[in-house]
Amino acid sequence: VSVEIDTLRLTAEEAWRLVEARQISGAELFAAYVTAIGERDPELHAYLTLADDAGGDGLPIAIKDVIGTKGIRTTAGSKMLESYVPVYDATVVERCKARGLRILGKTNTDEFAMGSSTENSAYGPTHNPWDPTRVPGGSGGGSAAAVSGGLAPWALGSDTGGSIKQPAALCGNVGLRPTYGTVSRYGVVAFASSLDQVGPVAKNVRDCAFLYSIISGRDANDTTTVDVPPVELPTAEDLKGLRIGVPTEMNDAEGIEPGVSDAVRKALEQAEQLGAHVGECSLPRSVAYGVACYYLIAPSEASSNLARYDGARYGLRSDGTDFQEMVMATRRDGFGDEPKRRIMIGTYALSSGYYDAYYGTAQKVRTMIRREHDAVFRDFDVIVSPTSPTVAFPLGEKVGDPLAMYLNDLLTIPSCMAGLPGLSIPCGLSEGLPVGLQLIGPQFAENTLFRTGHALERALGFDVVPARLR
Amino acid sequence: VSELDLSDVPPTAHPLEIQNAWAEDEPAPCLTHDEAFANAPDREGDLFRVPPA
Repeated sequence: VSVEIDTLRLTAEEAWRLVEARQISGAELFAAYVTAIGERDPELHAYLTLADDAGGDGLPIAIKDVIGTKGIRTTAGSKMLESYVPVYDATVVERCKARGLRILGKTNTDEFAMGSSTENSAYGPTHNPWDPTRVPGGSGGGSAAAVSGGLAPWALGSDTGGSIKQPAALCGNVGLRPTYGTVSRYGVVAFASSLDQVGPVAKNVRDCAFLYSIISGRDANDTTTVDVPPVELPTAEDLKGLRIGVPTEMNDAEGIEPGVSDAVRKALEQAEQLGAHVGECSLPRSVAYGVACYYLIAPSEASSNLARYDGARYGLRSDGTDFQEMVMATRRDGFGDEPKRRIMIGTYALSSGYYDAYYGTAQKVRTMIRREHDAVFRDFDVIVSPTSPTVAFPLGEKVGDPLAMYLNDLLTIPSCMAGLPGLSIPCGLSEGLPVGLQLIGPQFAENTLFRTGHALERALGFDVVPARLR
Repeated sequence: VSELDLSDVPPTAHPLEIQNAWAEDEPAPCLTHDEAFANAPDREGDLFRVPPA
């Protein structure tokens, strides 16, 4: 007789143990998630494509639809790739499969991962499991909603300026944006190559760390990857000796909701009780110039990366009497408003005569941001802030105002610019919706983030199951 | 960003302090022609077919 499987509450580690102890079979586990998807995904729309990968005894996993999966449609949330079926797996998918993981499906994303709410998906938005009238965050809102809605035990996301951390915050789960270069981007649809990183989304920090251990490490197919220190699954329940820095500008920034500040303050009090030393620090220019710098660098790189969608080799092709007309028609029909906006901004910023003033200057600001963080990490092991200034906002609220949408990532962007790892864990509720706590460390300090996140998550006792689904 | 004095700041070329990434020069499996053309909107033999330029 098999045990009852509660996909809303079951962690990947618990599921792994149940399968190992033969209390449930891999097929039963997979079927439980398929049933949950059938029940709740019509409302949440976390998935764009379901896979039929039920063989074997490994754990199921959801994969963000910018990550290439052999034989499974990979749209990147765009009409441009509506019928694109990769002929090879991304390295991260290959590594998941090598550990027996089986793909449940491909999760919704803002088109080409450009957005903070999944409302830029060409296939319609994902809904937040805590309140379906609200956004799940983005761009990886599908992966975050799948994990919190019990539609996957864990998932892969990708993060350029906050696309893993911010949805994890808004959906009340755990997301890691790893150090740049620790996880391969081979086979991942490119947005801004000097910033893009794949990372795990999970119900708790240990699952997140375990999935990171599976996907990380040097890959000969991505020359930006490096060898990674061994991943330590966190066990310690205290924070003795840990120095936590609280950057004033990231915790008092205009636009941070009072309920978000309160939850973060309580988490910091909890950290002190666990033995951490908490002190103030400052990152003035990283916060003041981070978003502006990001919105020069990311669109510039995107405009170059998205040049490949020309209707010739793969993806959509629209009719045109000659080659030039075909390419223009394809790009007009295939791209939505946000990629078009970023291609235009990026092309302008890279154009002759403007390159130094825009892209060149932004790359210098990036060095400045990195140096500012380096200085803080001489005195602190981890820095802390809210992940998102707000809780999940209503669908439609910011769609017409791109600048308001961009400010969602005010607090996640600076560390991305510096190539630093960031972990978001849920730290409480504000107006009934989850608040994310962002932990940032020096490059390759993932183990410190896991240790800190694990001890805090145990002490805070946040219930990751959305209240309305309990 | 134009407000800042960046005269002594070098641009970031790469987020990590890494130099060259070398690989052994060894043959490895790659896509077949049919795989490479699998998503092509149009094909003629071993070429991608497009409208006249």
